Amino acid sequence: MREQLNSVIERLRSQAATMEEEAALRAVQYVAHDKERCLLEVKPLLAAIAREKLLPKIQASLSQAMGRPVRVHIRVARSPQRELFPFFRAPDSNEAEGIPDTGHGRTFEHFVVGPTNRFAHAAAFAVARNPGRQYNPLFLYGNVGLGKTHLLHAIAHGIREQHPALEVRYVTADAFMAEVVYAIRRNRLPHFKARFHRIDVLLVDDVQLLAGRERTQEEFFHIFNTLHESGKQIVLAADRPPDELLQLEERLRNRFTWGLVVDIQPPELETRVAILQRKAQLEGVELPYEVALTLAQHLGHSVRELHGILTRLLALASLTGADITLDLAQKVLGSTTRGEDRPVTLERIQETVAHFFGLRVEDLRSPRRSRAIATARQIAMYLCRQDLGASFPYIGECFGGRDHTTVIHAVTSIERRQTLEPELRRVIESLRRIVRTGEGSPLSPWKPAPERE
Amino acid sequence: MECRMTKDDLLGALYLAQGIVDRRVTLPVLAHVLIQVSNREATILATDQEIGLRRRSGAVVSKRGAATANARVLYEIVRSLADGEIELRTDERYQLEVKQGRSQFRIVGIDPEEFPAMPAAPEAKTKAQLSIDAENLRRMLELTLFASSADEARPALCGVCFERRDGLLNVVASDGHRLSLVSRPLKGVRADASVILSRKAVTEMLKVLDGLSGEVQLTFAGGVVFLGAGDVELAMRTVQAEFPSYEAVIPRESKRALRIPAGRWSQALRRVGVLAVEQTHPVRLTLDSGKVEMWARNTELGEAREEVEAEYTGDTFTIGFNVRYLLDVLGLFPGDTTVAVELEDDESPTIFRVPDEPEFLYVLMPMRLS
Repeated sequence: MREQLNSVIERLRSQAATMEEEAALRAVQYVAHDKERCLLEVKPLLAAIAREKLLPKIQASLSQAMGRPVRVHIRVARSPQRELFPFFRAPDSNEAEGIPDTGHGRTFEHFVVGPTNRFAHAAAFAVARNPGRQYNPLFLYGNVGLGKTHLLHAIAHGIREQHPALEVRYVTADAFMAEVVYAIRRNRLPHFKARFHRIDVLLVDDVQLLAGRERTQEEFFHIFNTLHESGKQIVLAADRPPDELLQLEERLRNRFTWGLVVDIQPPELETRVAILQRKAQLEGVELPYEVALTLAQHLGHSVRELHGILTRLLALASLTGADITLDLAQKVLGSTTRGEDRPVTLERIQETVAHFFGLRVEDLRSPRRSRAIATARQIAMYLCRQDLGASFPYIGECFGGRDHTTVIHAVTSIERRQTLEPELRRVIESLRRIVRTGEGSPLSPWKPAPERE
Repeated sequence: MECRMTKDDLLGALYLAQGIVDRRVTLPVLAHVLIQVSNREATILATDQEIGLRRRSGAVVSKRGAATANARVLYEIVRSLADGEIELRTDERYQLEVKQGRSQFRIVGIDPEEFPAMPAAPEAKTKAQLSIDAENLRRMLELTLFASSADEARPALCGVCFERRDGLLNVVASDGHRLSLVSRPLKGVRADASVILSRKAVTEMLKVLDGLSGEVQLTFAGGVVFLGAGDVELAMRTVQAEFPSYEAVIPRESKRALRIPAGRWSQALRRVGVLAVEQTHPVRLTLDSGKVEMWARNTELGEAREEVEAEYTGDTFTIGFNVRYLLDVLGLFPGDTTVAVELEDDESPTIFRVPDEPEFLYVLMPMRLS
């Protein structure tokens, strides 16, 4: 099978659509195979691309080459040490327990602490050491890509290590909802409850997604009470503080503030540099300080964005065999920002969105509520919140003096609709790009689909 | 309950109990030992509900009965007393009085009825009982336990597997990177079966077997394995998991063969290993005619290189290993022992054998070198 695999990968490389795909194909390492399985490994940075983009292609081509169905697993390379029983633990078994296998692991060790997240880190660390004792529940909030999920995973890993007897469960609000729905449909609600009541440490991510899900909130409320009463640890993460989770029942919001509520702010420059260097180190690459500094200076404030640009840089370096220099970094930055470094401002978001929908900025600020304007306004508010981290009241102010609850409603509803309408997601992505690069989009102005409420 | 025992008998039992009692305070009685006194005998029991210890010793009994006491406290007390007899007595409030000369202790106990019941070895000889020389068994455990895993996410590897097959007792352990196997033909091995005992259980077995000679009995009964060794009986619950089928990973033959003295090799590896500081402790071995070169490097610290003479006649060949995994196995044998290494290529399992102990086999996976 190895021969066939090599030629499959060789062929896919010649057809690779993007630089990242090509880099991932080069980095894919063979681990083991048996009759119907083939196990591959890839570095953590390239794992997402490899799994999403390459796995289906490799699996299809390899099955064809072998003349029988072959299941391909791609896992994150953990260590250079080879294994005797690579298939003994199913490659994805970690994910089944709710903690995604992130390779180098979202542990405390790999969390870069700076002034803007020190308190959150300390609280999470205390919880991992003494679950159920100190801060219960611990509520972490902050914008996307700032490390909330990392801290939740770190707590899970920490508890596994220090308190192996405790049952830890990590779940996103989405997944939780899916389980509730499934349990109701299959008439297995008691079983579902019993399973959650056994948990010693419950970690719930993206709590804001519970908004408007009444039945799910109801079940969550009861589980929360049972666990909290018996001194079990609960940790919650959301993109905003409990009192802004307006579409959540008051009794839940209220409970969320019983313990400790901590925010995570975007990292400042020094921390951004440290994040880039740490990540590079994990990849086994030396990132010169001036390169890290340049990247950190030119990039936004989300850790995810920093990781993204680093992936690009390392992929480019490994592809061309070039050293990681300031020149190369600027090339990579250039390809994202098109040479022009435009700060994202609230005004720019308003202009861009208005132009995109064929409206004027005044329309967004006006009291008019026609569907087209309302959707555009909501999208603009959403972008201001997500990409700028502006406060709800301030956004309301800038959109014709609207109440902050209107803004919260707008942000939540766009979030929700994105999961249902891929079209809307694409529009928002391209709006983001235009805002950032000032580059026109090939997409024609978009006619919003009728809202379904 | 009232009796007199010698310090030696009492201390011996309490010493073994220390490793077994449950330090987590889930159930307070599990931190206690139970002392049962019958006709002419005192039996001391300890359990964490996975492993149970029973040790009988002679006693001068005035009144039959039972008592419990905190295992650690009682051990510390008895240890500090003088050699000779110790008096034990309980009152109706479950307090245990320990007396020797002018020393007197009163220790809080728990109702002995609360002490969990422990399985006892079947009285009659069963098909699943085998007798084995204590030193032999101790060596088999010593040669395997170190290779087991501490990763509790893989319970099957967190212990040692005892496999009875074709008249052989195979004792085998693996952490997924290396595997250690000892096979001995054994009389009484009839029913084929395979069970896993936890690291803790095997560690306690080693303590029980320490210094013991003569035959001991291993009894495999359902989910429990009993070790009967003189006055001591250990009951060990087996791990509910299946050991991976390991025969397939042991290569039948390999391209390259190396013979090297264990002592000199491990000393050199220890020196070079000082610079193998990364998490996986990588060292690079280069086999060349008549020698092995070891090399380790750390970008921040520096590099180390050393050569050791060895019997090798093949091509120049490079392979990487975790230096700890090499030192672990070399440390099991006297320095003048010859180790025979069979290597296929730099990504296949490598085999280590020791002609002096032909029943032993060590399989080690190499490491990818960057």
